[in-house]
Amino acid sequence: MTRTIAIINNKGGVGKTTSCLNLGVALSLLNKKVLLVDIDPQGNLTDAFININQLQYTIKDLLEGTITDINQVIKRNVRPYIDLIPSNNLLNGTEEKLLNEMSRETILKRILEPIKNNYDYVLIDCPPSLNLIVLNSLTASSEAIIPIATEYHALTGTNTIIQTIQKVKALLNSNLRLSGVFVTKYDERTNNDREIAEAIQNNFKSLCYKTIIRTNVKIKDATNIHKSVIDLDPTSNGAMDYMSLAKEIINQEQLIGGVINNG
Amino acid sequence: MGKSFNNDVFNSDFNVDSINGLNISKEAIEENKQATTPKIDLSNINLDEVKKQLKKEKAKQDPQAELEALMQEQERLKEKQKEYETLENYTKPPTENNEEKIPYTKKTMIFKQEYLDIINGISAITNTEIKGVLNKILELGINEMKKQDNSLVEKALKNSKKQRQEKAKDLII
Repeated sequence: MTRTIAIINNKGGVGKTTSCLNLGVALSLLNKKVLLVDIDPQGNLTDAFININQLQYTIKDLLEGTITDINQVIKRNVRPYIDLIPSNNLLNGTEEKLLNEMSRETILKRILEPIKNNYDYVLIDCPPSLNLIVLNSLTASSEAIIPIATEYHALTGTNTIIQTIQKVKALLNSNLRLSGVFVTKYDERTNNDREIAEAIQNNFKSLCYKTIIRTNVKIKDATNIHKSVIDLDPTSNGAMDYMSLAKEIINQEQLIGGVINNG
Repeated sequence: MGKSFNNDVFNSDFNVDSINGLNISKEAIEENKQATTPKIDLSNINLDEVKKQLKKEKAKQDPQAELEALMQEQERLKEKQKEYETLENYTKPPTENNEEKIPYTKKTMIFKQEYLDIINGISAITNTEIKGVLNKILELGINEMKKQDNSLVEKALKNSKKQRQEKAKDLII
């Protein structure tokens, strides 16, 4: 069964796009067919695979209904086992246009419906916000995953996200569940990071993935050259952490409908 | 963003619930409700009717088909029993009876068959005269293996005899 996962956090710079990219690559290397959906106007996820300035159609066209055939937008095999629905800064004006649409929260769900069964995983890279676009992502998803950076006030924003997930579950998508949170940008040498990581683990308990994404210069290098850290240096800590996280996510497949169905 | 939407006083369909200040459209909520509501209306189901229907269906069942199924099951059990008995023979330790030397003879048979296959293979691609020589080697090989098998059986027999004698001694004491 296809798992549609929204990678969500309303804070910027917590590693949503980096995680979406590297998880996508890691899952594909573990023989999972992946669709990456870039729904962030910054288009950084798209940028990791193709030139965002040479895009004829993007997710914006699908959301606004100017293109109805998803095959015209989807970029096939941007990497073996990975397809991509691209985005760029033109998406910035879309939200306003959607406000008066009928059932505007389910537009993305309807877009993905005909093709999602072709994939094992659909990963949606959400923008750092909790706007209508993000509501669309959550309505189209079966799961949400929250990356949390080991930064000051890391936990304060997560309550809002969890409340949002609960409301979406109650009103728009009863199949939605929070599959877990994971710690990013962790530097074990600092007390601050150790304390915050511990607080996150205590707060979320079994919902916190065991894998912690350590801060790693290779992740930054990879971002600079628009690549995944797994492609840049598969032996680096960053690559190994994301491979480990991908395996944890795959292992959850056995639990779906059981323990992780957290109501 | 939210302001322009909230000012949309003409559209009365947009209402009620909101998430993070964004009003959620009625249609989307309805869509979700429909997706989660079971398609069968349980409130309209009459249990007595269901019971009657089930009784009728049971009565309709063909007794002949039931009998056939039972017979098939019996046959299957018989087959299983045979299979079990054969397996038991193979796993039993060798005793004095010649019949129970089956596992050792079988080993030789497998060897013979494999060897014959090799001979046929070689003679097909080389001079056919070589077949005679190879057959002689096969005979020698088989005799040698039989000797080994027999010595194993003899050893096992001796051991079991010894064990029985020791058991008998224990009983007398």
